[in-house]
Amino acid sequence: MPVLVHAAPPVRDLKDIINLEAKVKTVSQNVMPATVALLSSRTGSSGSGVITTASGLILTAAHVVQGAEEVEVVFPDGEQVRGKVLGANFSKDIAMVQIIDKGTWPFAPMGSSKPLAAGDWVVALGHSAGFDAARTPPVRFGHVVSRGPGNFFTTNCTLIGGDSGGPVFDLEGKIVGINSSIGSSLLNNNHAGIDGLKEDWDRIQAGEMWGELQTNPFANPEMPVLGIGMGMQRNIKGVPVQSVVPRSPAAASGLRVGDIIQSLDGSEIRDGGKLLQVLVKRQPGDRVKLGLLRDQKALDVEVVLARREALFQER
Amino acid sequence: MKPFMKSIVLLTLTLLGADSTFAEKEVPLILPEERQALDAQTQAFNEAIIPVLGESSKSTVRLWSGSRRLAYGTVVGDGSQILSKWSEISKAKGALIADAGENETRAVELVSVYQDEDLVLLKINGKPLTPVKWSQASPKLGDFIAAPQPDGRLGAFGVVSVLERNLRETDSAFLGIASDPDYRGEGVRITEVTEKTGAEAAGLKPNDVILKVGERSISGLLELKNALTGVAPGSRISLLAKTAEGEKKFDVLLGNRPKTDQFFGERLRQMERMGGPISQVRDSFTHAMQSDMHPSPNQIGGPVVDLKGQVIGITLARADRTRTFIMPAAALVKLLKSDGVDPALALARQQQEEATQLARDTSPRGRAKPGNEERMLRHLSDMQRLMDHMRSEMSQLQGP
Repeated sequence: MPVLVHAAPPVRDLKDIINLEAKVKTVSQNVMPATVALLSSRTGSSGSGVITTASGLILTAAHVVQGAEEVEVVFPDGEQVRGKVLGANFSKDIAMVQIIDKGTWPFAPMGSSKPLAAGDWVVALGHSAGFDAARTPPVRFGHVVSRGPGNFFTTNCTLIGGDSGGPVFDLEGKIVGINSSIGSSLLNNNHAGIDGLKEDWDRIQAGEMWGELQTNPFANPEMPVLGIGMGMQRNIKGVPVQSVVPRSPAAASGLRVGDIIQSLDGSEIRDGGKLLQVLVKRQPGDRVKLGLLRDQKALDVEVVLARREALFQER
Repeated sequence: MKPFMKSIVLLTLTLLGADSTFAEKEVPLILPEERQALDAQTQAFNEAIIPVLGESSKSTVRLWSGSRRLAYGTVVGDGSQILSKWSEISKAKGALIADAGENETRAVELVSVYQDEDLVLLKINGKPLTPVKWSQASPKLGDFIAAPQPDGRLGAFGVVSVLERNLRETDSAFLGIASDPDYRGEGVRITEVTEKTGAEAAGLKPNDVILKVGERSISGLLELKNALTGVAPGSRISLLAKTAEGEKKFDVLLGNRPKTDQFFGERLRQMERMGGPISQVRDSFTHAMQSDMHPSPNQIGGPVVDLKGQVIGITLARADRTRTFIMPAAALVKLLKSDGVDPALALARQQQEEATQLARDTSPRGRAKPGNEERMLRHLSDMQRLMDHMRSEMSQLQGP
């Protein structure tokens, strides 16, 4: 499987841009009512969220609801209702809130984040800099810049404080991500993928809280791993396997000490840094093909990646 | 990459953007294949949009003072005048030159200043240039909009993020109550009625609960604010409130919002300025449409078109990471019919304002509003975190 599956239709002429605009307008107007602000008087925080069921289940970022049991849910027109914080996975920066008040609420359906690749068009919303009664949550349009780390992806839809927890949509108006963090560059706006939320759905809805907010993707408990110790670089291109963690994906696929990893799904692996960079873009559960050099012979091995955290857990 | 919630924490991150050593690590985990795909897509997009820029690019000029490019300008009226951004143009030392591309340059001089919108009208000396045709269309949310360069290429692209609104707090209607944040019922419970406001004149009292504005039920303070947004000062509204004597209707004449202290705002703005190229004057516009486009500050003042190539307005300011403000065509047409002030007078006022601001920034406020204390403490702790973060970034930069 190539790293890049470019799903976005190409823009060849003005007509393509006009078609793109029509979609962005439809999405912006349709999903606006479901994009709420979440305020906590207890923690003084102000973030965003998106309603995804008619009964008022809100998806947001874990750091938005951190320390809060209840939040004020504010609709773009200023209507206020109460929300109960359910659970959260801090490592993925995802959480849920349930509207307590009875009612039928505007909502947006969920899409899929795993197929997203660089160049896919997206629309991001959020209550930038907090709820502002004088405006609707600002619409931002852009494209996926980069996949990963792990369940996260990066877009050039520029975010700022208050946008956290707000939604990113594909051009069909389906939620594909949740606004999480930014870097200094205008290109560096990070979102948690919706698929990672679906995996943890039952636990979060049941009120479980776990994980840790992690700024270093390589130290994130959700980081996908092979389960090897990397040896010192030798004169040969590739990463020597110095040790194999027992019961790890590497062990299950028969990797041996002394093997040299030279490629991953066709991407050349020159050194340990490159291996980490390619791995961090994948997700636990992904099946990858390693190109090995064993006893000076080339050999392909398939490995199913595991969560870093799961690697050292007692079984 | 840090999770963000409070804007100040964010500023730490944007501040770092000013340092070019970070440029390579813009998106730390981007793969060469991804970079290639993006570059190809961006290039194709920027080529494909060129047909909509052609007409308006003829009315787009660069304004120079010596070798310094100050701003863009938009040729208006019969082609003998240019509209541009006042706070940038006022930095000019010596003669101003308008450059329309293709070796078409003109000497220009100041005519009048529209201070509220931070715009200046310039007169072209010599042959007129091509004036813009203002569009009558009203932009919709999510519309694609673009700002041309004088050479006909794309200067900046974005969408309509927020429809036109008034950014001046003093221009919005003011009721004159403080509310109880812990009140959990329907409506808004009043804790305080401000003197000499519409609320006081109408007879609203502490502990009254506002239930309705006109026919609209009010769930809480934010909905009340929302209901009053867009209501002009001087309008009358009807309020339904629960009082000691039961539910009562109040007829309220709304006044102007008094000028609020901008102490924290100014502090924050100072830090924003360190975040890289944003406009110095970027707030308080009376007609501002918001877009996510990213023109640089010296590209402000030029026309903005929709995908039909029609000029829907001009850029007013690059406000920050997420916002660029655009003044819509209809408001501009109206503005151009009104009289501005003499540039000499505007310049004097500007200097006076700067002096006042300096004094304000350096002297502590004598009087803090109730409730501000907590916020001040929060800002202080945020500042502390900002400093710590900067220090750790610095030490990492310096290395072992």
